[in-house]
Amino acid sequence: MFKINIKELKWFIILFGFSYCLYYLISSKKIYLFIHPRLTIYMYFSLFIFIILTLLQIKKIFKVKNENMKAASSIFLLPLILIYLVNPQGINAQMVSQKGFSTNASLTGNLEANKTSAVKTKANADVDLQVSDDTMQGGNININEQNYSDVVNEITYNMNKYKGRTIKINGFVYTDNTFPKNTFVIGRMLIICCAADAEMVGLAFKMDKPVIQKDQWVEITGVLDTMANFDKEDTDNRTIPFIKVTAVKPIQKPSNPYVYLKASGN
Amino acid sequence: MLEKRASRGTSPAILIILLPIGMLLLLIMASLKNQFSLIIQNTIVQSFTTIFLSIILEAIPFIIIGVFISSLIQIFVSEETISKILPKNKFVGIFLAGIIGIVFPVCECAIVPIVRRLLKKGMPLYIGITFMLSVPIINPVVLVSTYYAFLGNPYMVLLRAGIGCTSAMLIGFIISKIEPENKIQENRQVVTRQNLCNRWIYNLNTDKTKNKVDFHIHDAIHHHEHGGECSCGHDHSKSGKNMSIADSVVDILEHTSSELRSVGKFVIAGAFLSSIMQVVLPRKYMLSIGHNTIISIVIMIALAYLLSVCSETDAFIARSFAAQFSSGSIIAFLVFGPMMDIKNTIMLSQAFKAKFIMKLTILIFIAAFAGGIIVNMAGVKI
Repeated sequence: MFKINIKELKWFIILFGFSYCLYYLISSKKIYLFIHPRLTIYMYFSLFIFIILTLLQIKKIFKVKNENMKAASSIFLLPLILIYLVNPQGINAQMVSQKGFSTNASLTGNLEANKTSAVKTKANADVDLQVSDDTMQGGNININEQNYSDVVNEITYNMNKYKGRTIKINGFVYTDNTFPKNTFVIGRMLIICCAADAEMVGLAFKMDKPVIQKDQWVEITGVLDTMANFDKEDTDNRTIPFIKVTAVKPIQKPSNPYVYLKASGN
Repeated sequence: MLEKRASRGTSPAILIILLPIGMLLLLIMASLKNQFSLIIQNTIVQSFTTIFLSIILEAIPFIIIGVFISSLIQIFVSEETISKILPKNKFVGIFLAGIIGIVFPVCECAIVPIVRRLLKKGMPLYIGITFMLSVPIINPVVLVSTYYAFLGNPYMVLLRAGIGCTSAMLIGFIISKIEPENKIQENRQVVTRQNLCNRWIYNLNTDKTKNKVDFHIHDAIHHHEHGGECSCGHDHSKSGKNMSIADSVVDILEHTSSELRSVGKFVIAGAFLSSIMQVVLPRKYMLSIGHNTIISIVIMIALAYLLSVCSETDAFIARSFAAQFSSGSIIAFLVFGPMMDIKNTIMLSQAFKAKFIMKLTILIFIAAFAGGIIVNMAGVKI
């Protein structure tokens, strides 16, 4: 009769759990809730190694020897259980209230937008082109996933250049008790490497009838204007741009709620 | 009793009992999921889980690389080779260990298992520590990301690399003075001795017969003997000379597997703690005290320790504080973070005594703090 080594079986279950978990996250694209797409190749690498280790572990289950190996710690099961139970949906406005939203555009990576004239990556040059095209035509500024952080930073730094222009932007709504009445911020989380370093990028907007909730995903259209800064910590910027809202449309949360920095992107 | 059975293998009969229990647990979990959907929808739990998993997912590939290199060292590099390669002169050794990171692209998650293995193979402690502290700072990936984060100030890269490298060498030198012996071996013996005592107490408490106590003592002593050479506890009898390629590949992979098993739990524990910190620390209240030259340095060092972000990304995090905090505190953050944080402490606790980790943390703190003060004094603007 064959015998079974419980300790090795436990490690097998953990390895299998991790392999399956990685496979599930990658195949359902949910992995991008946690990490930057540039790390995808590493995730395939982890999955590959985990599958090999799982296969290798199969034969050890039946190999019974008097080894003094400690059983794998149960802490390995914690992430697996959590991912099943909580089914995380990504970073949201709650995290922003913990980290704080600064109107100072020194938020991650904004320096690049600030210094586009000095250091031009191809991505930044594209944005410049697009923004200046709009300037010539006096057309609408359309902020989408590809140009999100670049355009938002460009507007924050050169707000007077874009004053009076119509803008369309989507994102989730954030507000806290330090904001003036009827003032909100719309933005998305910017990911550099993984969700642990997420920072909010966004623009302030004003609305007379506040019908929207914090953390709700909306698309707003409005006209750019400037206002006195309400962020007490920010001593560099006396005025900040904001959007005078003309239309609000609730939208579905996108499958990938984050935006990325172009310069460090793929 | 249970241990004895497990070490000799369990009959499949146990499985027949375990299987329904496992199924039952799954069912309970599924029903819990519905019952507590309110708590689960709670945004704090959501954020916590997202950050927890993202740290683990991001760390896993680098941990795997680390334990893989460590397994390669275990199997292919002998103690004699290490002592042959190492420079005889202490200062040359420390200097080389301090700058080798520039061609060694391994971040702080991966370096701990590698250093642990090198120390077990007889590398002097001070060289191992210098190596462990400098590699995560001056490796090319980190320098490039620092360059991108502070695009307007290329000297930030030089400051970070310079201060990081110098501190690592200084700490290595101090370690060679205060801890001349290789601590890692001693620690292992203490642990097993403690184990032995615990087993004794356990056995006495549970009122076992004399016979079984003997068995357990034997068990512990055996573990001690075996553990002195390799903690992973699997069979190394094959690692002789006439091994086929397939054999050695399997051997490396098995080694990787068992090392992942022992290192992984510390990574997960560290990720758990640091994601709690990320969720509960009210960062926005810290900003108001950022201009003070001394307090800001202490706060940024504390933050570097608590947040435990990977050294590849911490430059971007630091960048987001640059407007509110003094330049010295930013440098202190960039130097201290890769050398020591929650995740590292927990990983190190596997190989070193708590007292030694304390000493090391204090030394790193002093180095990072001094670096910050000097930068502030020099009046460098970011």
